[in-house]
Amino acid sequence: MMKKDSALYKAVLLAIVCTVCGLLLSLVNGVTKPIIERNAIAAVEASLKEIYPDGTFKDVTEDYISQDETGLIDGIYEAEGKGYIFTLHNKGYGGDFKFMIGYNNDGTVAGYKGLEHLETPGKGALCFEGDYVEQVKALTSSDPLPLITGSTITSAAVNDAVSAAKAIFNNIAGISYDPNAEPEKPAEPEAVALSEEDLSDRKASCDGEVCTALGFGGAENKAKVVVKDGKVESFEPEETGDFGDGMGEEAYSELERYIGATLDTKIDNVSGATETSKSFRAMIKAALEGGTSANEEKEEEVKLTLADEDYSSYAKPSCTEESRDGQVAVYACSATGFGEKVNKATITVDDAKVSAFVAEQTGDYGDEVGDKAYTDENYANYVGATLESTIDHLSGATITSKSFRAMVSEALKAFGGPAAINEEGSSSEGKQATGLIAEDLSAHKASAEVESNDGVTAVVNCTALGFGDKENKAKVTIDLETKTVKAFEVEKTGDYGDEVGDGAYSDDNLAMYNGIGQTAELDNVSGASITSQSFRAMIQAAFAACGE
Amino acid sequence: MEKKQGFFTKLLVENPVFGLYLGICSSLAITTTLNNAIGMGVAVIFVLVFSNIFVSLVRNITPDDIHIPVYIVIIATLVTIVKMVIQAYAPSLYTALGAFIDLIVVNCIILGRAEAFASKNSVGASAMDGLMMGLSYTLSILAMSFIRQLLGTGCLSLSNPFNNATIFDIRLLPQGYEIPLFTGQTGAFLTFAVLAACIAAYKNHLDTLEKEETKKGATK
Amino acid sequence: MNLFTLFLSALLINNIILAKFIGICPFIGVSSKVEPAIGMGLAVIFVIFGASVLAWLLYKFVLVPLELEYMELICFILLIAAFVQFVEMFIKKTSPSLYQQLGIYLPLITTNCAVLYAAQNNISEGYNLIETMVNSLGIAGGFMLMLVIFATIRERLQGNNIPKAFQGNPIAFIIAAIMALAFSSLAGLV
Repeated sequence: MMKKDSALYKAVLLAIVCTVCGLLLSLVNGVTKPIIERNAIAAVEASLKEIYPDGTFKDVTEDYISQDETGLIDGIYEAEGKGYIFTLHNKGYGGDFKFMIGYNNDGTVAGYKGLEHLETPGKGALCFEGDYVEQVKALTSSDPLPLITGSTITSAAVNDAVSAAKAIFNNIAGISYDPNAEPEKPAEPEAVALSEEDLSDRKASCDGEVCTALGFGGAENKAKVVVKDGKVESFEPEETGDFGDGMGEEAYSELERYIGATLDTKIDNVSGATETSKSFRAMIKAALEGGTSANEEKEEEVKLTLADEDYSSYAKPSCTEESRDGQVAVYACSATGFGEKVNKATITVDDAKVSAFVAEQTGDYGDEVGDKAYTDENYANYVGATLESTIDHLSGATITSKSFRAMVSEALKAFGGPAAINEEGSSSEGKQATGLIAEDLSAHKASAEVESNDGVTAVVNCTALGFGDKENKAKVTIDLETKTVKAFEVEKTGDYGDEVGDGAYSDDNLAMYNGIGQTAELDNVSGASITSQSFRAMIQAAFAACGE
Repeated sequence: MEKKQGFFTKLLVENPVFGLYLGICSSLAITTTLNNAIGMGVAVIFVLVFSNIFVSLVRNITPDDIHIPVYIVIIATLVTIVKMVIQAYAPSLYTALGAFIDLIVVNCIILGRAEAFASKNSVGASAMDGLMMGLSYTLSILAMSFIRQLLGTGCLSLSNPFNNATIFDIRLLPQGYEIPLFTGQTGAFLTFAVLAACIAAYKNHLDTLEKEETKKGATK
Repeated sequence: MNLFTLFLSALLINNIILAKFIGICPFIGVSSKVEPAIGMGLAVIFVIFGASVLAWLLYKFVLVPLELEYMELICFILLIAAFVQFVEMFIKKTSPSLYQQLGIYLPLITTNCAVLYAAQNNISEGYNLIETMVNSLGIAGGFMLMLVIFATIRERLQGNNIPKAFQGNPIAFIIAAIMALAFSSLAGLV
């Protein structure tokens, strides 16, 4: 027997121990390994059986996964004697999706099934349903997958993942193929005439030549559309729309198809840029149909005079008289312009004609299109205008032009017409007085509140706008039996405080209101027309409040 | 004196985990549920018993300078066998215990007992020792798991690791009263500290008793 | 995988002692004073780094080609034991002073769960060689960091009044509990 201490003994002992242990281990390993593998597959097995219902599967991911450079393959399973199944993932339009594809050993597709996805029904979801699935199942491991119109991104992503699977499968099965075969470009649906196409979901609208519509991913596209004689003369889309994604690009360069289009033209989608093409067509359709205030080139358009044009709905102009020097008055006006911004202008009216028009440069200014309206050139258009004039609006600045016209019209109206009022100096009589009740004094927005009414006498508190839109207040006492003004007491804080209006507040002049009836004809106090008007307005209102 | 230290006392005082501070890593890491504790406990008992047997078997033919590697190989083999078996037949337990099955190899208890006992005693005695130590360890980690699972999740549950069938699952604390801290690391250390302190206190108590006995005996 | 993230994660966030409970035995045993703690820490860093790299090489070039993956545990533990033995002999011969400081800890390190864990972790996470090195340094660094912090605290505590039952190891665990609580806030950093 060897000595216990010798090195040989130790080495041998160690060797024996290791060998025994090694053998024991490999024995146990042999028993347990298959069970372990089966456990690993159990989780996926249910899905795998959908492709090979009778298959026995083996997880061979570790054996082949190193060949995959794309990282899109999650698992590789061998269906013994039948083929291989790949579980894959990629990023689609709506987020990550998972699916599996199985190939028979002969290269035909055994099965294709989506496992999870967040795609839009009718678009990306099509990649995992119905027809598309059948199409894929009819392919082989050498073919690229078809793309789907309208869900280019998802179907391209599916194709990329499948390519990764194909690469490995074809390697295992020894099938040669062309990994760079391009998927077929999807067949475009047949185009319809613009007038028939429903593009309402694009929410296209045009303001003059500038049109907007929703494009890819809900992003807004803008374009300049010039329409002449019902045909598109030019179409220039802005380069910052849904642009920025490889797919949409082409749509921005293939613009010839839109030139000369009418509502009856059928325009094709640009392949791979369906959404963008649609938004372009929507904008063109809107431009051709006239949009909101498009196409100022139409000859038929009736131009309205400044007096007739209705500005109340949009521009809502208002002017205040800044100064008045005989025949010449200067007004500071404001009106709503483009984008709901307020435009301001200083308008000088000389004898019922505009002698100067200057707009403040902070209005709807700031957008290139409106720019042109703010030039001296444009202002010149307004010089010499009267209420009977018609002024062209500036092309591409329709709304701004409208707001300018509104301000001019308001200034002219405030001025009062050709036979200008001479408030100062001359002894000419004031405005032709008319019967009180017939006079239109609505501009003074008089209001009346009955303070007391005992059937004999009524005391009414009134307010009305006077000079410079300042509020005048007065107490009107009315004799109900005679229907006349018994007393007219005006508060001395109204538009009072300005030399010109003074005259109206003098006791002498106030006396003229006493004893008047509704048909009385009253003169303006010379140099205080507006104040006089506002007084008359209040009396009118007082009569009305008493039910006369 | 020895007799007074009954079986039960021995179990407490010479407790490998709280008394001797061996095998701590696993007792902190996996004692989150009763299932884990039982699973680990059984694995450790298996390895401990068989390693003690085998070490005892070879104790006379193993020269001193290579005894460490020999013991290690034996223990490692046993652990690998246990690991493969668990992985095959009780996969849920395997995922729960994770790397700690492998770390049974370096569980100080096993090598410690091999060194201290099995290399010097007969096979039968060694096997018995392995069993006792294993049980003691299992009880310790059961105690830890009990506290941690109860306080941490409010429930006590047990399920069959071979087929995941639930054996019982009772909620003892009302919902919202559980302290999740105990399921995590901090809780593990805390529970361990408190249990260790209890054992230490008991030890101290016993020591004081002994001293009094000796005094009494001396003065008699 | 970002190497810095890997390192930080191994060092602090998934700290081997506070988060993974590995390496506790020597942690409790050697951390009563700062100086030995530093010594042990350095020794551990050296051993973990060396052993991990060797283990990785062994796995990649021997076990996998021979399809002997199930021998991993045995091979690794033997490798570690041999490596430590070798290092001990080496230090003894070349630097007796260093041996004085560190040598006594080396045998302890063999059964340090941390070394085996580190070696196996690199394999199970599928790291390449560089990642293995970074991960090992992180793990070992984390171990040393905790060890030193722990030792500092325990040293401070020595003069204090600790209840008899808690003296020694139990109080150490309470300290560990508090440290674990503090470091758990780092979870989610990467």
